Amino acid sequence: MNLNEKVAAIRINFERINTELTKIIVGQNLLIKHLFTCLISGGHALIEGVPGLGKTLIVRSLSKILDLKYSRIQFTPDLMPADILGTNIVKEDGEGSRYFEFYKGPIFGQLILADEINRASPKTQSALLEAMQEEKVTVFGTKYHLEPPFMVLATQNPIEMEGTYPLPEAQVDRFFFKLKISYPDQNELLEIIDKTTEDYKYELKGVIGADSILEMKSLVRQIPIASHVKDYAIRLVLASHPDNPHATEQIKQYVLFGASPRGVQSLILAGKVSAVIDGRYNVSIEDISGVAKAALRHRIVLNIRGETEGIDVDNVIEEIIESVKIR
Amino acid sequence: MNAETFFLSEISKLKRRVIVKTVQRTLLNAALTFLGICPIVFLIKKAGFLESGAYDSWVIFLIGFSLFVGVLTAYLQKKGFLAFLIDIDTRLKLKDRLSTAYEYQKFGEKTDLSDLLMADATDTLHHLGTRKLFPLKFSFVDLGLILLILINMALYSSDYLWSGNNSMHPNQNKLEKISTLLRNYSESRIESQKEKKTRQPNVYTRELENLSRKLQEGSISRDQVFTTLNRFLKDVQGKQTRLANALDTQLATAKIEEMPVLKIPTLQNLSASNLEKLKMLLHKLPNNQIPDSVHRDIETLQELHRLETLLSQIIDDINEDTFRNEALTESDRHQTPGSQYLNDLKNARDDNQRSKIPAKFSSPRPDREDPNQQPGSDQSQGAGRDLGKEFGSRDGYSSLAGRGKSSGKKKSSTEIEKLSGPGTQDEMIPSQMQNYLIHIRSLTAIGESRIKEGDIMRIYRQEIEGVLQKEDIPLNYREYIKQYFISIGLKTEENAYESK
Repeated sequence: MNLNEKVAAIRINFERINTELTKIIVGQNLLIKHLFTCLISGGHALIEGVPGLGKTLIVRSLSKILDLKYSRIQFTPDLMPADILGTNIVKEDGEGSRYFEFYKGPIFGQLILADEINRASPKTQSALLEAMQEEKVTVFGTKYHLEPPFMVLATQNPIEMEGTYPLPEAQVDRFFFKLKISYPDQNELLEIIDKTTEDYKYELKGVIGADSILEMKSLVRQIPIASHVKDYAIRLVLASHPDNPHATEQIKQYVLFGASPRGVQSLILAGKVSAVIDGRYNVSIEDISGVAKAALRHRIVLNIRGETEGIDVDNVIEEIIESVKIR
Repeated sequence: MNAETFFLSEISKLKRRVIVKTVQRTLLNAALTFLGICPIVFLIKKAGFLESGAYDSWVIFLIGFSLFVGVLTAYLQKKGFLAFLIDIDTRLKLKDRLSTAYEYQKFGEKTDLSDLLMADATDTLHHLGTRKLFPLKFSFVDLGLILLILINMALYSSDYLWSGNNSMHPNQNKLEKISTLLRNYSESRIESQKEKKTRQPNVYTRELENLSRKLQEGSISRDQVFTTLNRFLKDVQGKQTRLANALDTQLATAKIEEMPVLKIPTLQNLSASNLEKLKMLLHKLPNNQIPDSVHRDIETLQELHRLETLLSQIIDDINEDTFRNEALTESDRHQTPGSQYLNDLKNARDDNQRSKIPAKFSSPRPDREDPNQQPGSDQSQGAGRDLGKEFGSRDGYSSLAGRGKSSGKKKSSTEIEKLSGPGTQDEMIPSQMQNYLIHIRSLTAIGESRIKEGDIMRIYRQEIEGVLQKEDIPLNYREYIKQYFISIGLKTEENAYESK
């Protein structure tokens, strides 16, 4: 397979995944595309949506399509880090000698579903920090590498405040994308009830495996990107900072912190995947602006005034996109 | 050839188009500048702050300045080729294909996918036409250019039309006609002089050549043409008089017996036809009876007569045009200084002619040869009707009024009143002048006169006498004027008595 075919294979794989997911997921095409982008970019996604929109279903279905080791962690307030990472247990051999043996937790998978991640305590949530950033865990001084590709797909409910623990900023920043599941429209609802209330049978096929994902991940990083496109991504991120001279009035009023450097990394990598999916060999301005909301919305922190006035971060990002000119 | 070579080839084509477009933009800016400043300079010129020669220099300077502004503007608006490609990417929604490929090629950034990118960009460029790359958009700059062109056209065309109708400015066609006449005369004169190598080059020929050349170059104004031509005419007429006197003396000295043209008038007033008659008559005499100098003088007189005719024709043409324009454009009662000046010139020319050839006053165009006229019919003097008949005067044309030589004696107004004018009323012939400037003067407003008519006529007679006594009216013309006014006065008084 030559290079051209490899690039084309990425687009084909996306289409196949999309086709499989649409068997059970109605609508949410942008969400599926962003999930694929996260997978190819080697990032993690935080999926936010009210209950009943299919957050868990999407991740579960994706695990079946991708030939990866799948783990599901249901986050609860009493969930402990050891429940995620694993722990040493005492074992006894045949001679009666006792020893510690590491019992791997659910983090040792390749596609991790952290369901309702904001219900666990910050201490437990922090158990994912090292795994998400460095793809390894340290238990009792021993480092354990996670098998690539490693991807965490976390879900959270934005409206329930009781019994939930908002994710710390450091934790949120480690997510490549923060994806929002929107309400289906009338036609989509009609399709949903047809598929779920009738005798609708579907079978999800495995499309790609770990090797293919790793190969695509490597290839995507070679997508050329022009300096003015990089410059555009940087200015987008800088414009999100309230102390930046080019910040808009809304940013200055309602934003406490702007996007971190991980935001630019996410923009560029996601732009590359977006370009490949679009059949191009270069990243464009449109690619960057197209993924800006998903890449920046969880990295922009509103101040108290923004929170109390109910400012939507997506609107802030739209204003940033409009204010930053191409040059 | 690999993808990079193809890509470079397409980029080279694109760069050539960009250069052409840059040159076009430079010229457009220069044209805008030039057309924008031209009306200002034009108005300055019309206001009189700029002379014609300086205006030409200003135009040349403006062209240079406009080109400089065009180049400067193009330089200041200059964008890099990469920026140009980004513009194309944005405008044609090419999603930064061209700019990224060019950047990777230019800076030698190599990835596994750069060749694919260049191939993709080459394919994209290949399918883009010139129209898409450089769309023809009607911008405000184009609109401004059109407006400026229209403004300039309106200004210059109105100026052209205005100058064509305005008598105060040189009529180009008329001047060209004058120039052609002068040139033709000079050429014919030169040819005749070549044939007669013994003769000295005529001074007037050279001066007329100079005048013709200046007219062609446009370095002489209409007033200057008038002045020069009038001066020539006076000189020619003076020389004619001197030669005629000399010829008269020579003929008298020759004591020619049985000369068949004894009835010819004084040589001073000989016309071309009379000169021709005299020449033919002298040719019939024995060779040794008439000296060669007489033949030469006659030929010179003929030449001077032709020259006088030419100059008179040119001045009449210009004056005729001037008076017509005055009648059309100027107020009837007010003459401009320029037209007054032209009138003065005409009067001066008339004075010159009248002083020499009084018969011309009774002829519609006495200084022109009438093709229907019999030879020798245009001039007569002193001998009255008999002489006029002998020389072929046409019926109905007066040959009396003002033709007799003045005695030079001044007479009082009472004497003039008592003088009996000619028994016959001059039959006026229609003039070729279609419009006249008439000044109506009265002591009171029209219709409100409380003065008796006889008193007014007396005042008029006194004024006439006063005018006639002035020295600037030729002596031999005073009698004509006097008789004319007396005839009017008589008729008016007769009518007044009849009405009473």
